[in-house]
Amino acid sequence: VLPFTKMLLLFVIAMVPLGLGCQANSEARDEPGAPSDDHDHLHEHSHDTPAHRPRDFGAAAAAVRKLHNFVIEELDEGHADHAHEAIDHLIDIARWLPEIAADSDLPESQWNAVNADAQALGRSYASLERSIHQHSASIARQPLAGLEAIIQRLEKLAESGDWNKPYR
Amino acid sequence: MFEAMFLGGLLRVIQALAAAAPTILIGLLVAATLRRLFGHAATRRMFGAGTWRELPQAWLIGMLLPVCSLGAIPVAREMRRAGISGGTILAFAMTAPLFNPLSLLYGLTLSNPVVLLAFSLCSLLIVTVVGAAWDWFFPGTAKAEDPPPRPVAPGLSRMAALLLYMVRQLAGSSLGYLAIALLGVVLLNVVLPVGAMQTVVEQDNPWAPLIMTAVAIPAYATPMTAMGQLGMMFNHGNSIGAAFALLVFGAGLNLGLLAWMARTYGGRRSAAWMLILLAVVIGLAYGVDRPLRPHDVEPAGHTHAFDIYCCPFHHQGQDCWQKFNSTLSEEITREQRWGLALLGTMLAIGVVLQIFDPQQRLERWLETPRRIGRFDWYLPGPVLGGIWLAILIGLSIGGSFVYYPAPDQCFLAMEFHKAETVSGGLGFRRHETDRGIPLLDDWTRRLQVGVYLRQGRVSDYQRMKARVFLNKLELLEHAMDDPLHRQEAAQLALAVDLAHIRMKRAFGVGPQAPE
Repeated sequence: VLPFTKMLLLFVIAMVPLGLGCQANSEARDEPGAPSDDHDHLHEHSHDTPAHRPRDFGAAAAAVRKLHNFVIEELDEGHADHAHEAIDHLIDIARWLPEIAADSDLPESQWNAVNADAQALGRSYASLERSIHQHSASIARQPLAGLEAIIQRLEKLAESGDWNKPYR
Repeated sequence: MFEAMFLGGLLRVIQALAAAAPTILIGLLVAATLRRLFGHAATRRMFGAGTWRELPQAWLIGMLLPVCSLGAIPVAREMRRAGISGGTILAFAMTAPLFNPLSLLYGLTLSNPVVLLAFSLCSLLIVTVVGAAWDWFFPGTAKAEDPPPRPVAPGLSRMAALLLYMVRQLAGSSLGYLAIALLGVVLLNVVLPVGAMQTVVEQDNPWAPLIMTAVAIPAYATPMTAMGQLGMMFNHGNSIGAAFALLVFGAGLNLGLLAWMARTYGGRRSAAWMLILLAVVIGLAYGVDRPLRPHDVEPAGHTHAFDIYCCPFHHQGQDCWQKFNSTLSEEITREQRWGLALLGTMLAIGVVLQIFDPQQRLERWLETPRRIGRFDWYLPGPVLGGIWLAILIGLSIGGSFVYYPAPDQCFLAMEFHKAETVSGGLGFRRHETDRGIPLLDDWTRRLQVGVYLRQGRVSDYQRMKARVFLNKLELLEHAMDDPLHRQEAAQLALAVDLAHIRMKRAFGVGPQAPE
């Protein structure tokens, strides 16, 4: 017969990772940037593409510009709360941008630049979302500094048509 | 219904054996080497028996040897005969199938290296904790066979003794354990209808790690299969906890190993060990589930990764015989047929020996002392065994360069499959896409490992081009499921073609676009 104390001790040890995992779970949920259940529902259908995913690089650059301008307008008018959904979409597009750009004819150097710009966009919009969450209206605009140049670069690249020259 | 279950079970067993044949043969060879070349004392020394190094040494050797959970059974039996403790044997038997150089490299292309590293560390933690727990609970399980096997004279008789041991093992009690392990595959085929596992391991299903545990214990997966499934789970945004349970139980354990444990160490001890293992693995699975969840992956809603554990045929309205034959002829490769033929031949020889020489008189004759020939160069058994194991390990590492060739060879191998897939998609011929897509998927992953092995890195650009290509393949695969998507499939086939050209350029093969 197994000694009861040994069994109990081992059971407790075995349960430690479970406890740590649960703690990590709750921490991950509380984190401002963590995806919420509301966000997850967008992807519940099999391989359904979310409606706001741009179809190609040109559309992605245009979508970033449109949503970015909308966010700026809302912040200017003091309606930071109205910008939530647009910021969420911008974060998603920044996340998708490297893959969307890779599904084009952009050469490696230009893709690397887009990839770096996408990371910068994602970080800035996530930071903006956090500051709006914390109701710190005065610093809400800070993360947007420098984004105009990035968006202009994306637009210029989209207009050049380099991304859409198959078999060149 | 019975026909579907019977043929389904038979198909799954043949598929499992075809995939496992090389690793079963390697397992038998390693066991024969331990017995006939090393002997008990050298085997104990090699595994550091009786020292603190015992457990880490067992998993290190296990990680380097290319055996699967079926091939680990004869090795575990031989370790037991050599007098190695139960904890160390179980640590070896569970680690050996989990990782080997080929599967680890493959895994690196499938998932975030951090996740794979975390999985590896968690697995090693598990085998160490559970192995140490075994030795703590049940001290004195190290009992060597008495008397030990008599040495065989060097030369041809020693080689013959090695082969004899392998065929006897295959036709003897190891066969029983292999059969029990494969029974698990049949059982799953009966319990799980077609596609039953497609949606149950989603990341938002809190039961996913438990469901996967229940399926993975009777399932059999080679290390490469388990890695491939892990990759698909990551790509589909499935539950990370379920992926971890799949790796530990699907690749590391099977019903045959459990049966061997129960028979060797007793049902109560084995049940206690299994309970501890379940508690630790499920605890860790839930522990890593959310922290390791990738946030840049869209949950796909379903996956085909586990279709191989379910019945392959619909219970009604399908010509099972025709599907059975076509699946066998299309999926079992020429190399796998050779492996099955070798396994079958060895089994037949073993059965003949068991019938005509059950008393092992042949072995006794080989064990009689002989004079060494004047021109023979004598090498002690352990030295020869060490060289042999080093060759196996070397092949396992060096074989990576063969299994993962250079990019130009990968693309050459892809050409035919790409043409078949694109043409199948354009003409909506599903049997062509069904054959081509998995092969293209596999070659794309091998391409990335090949580049990593030769250049030390795969650029983000290359990785992303490969990802786009794999995504297009998957979308095409799904479009081919429904005749209503015929037009979409044709468009996707062209997209696959374009993505392939772009991937080829990204890997520096063929004409390059101007910068």
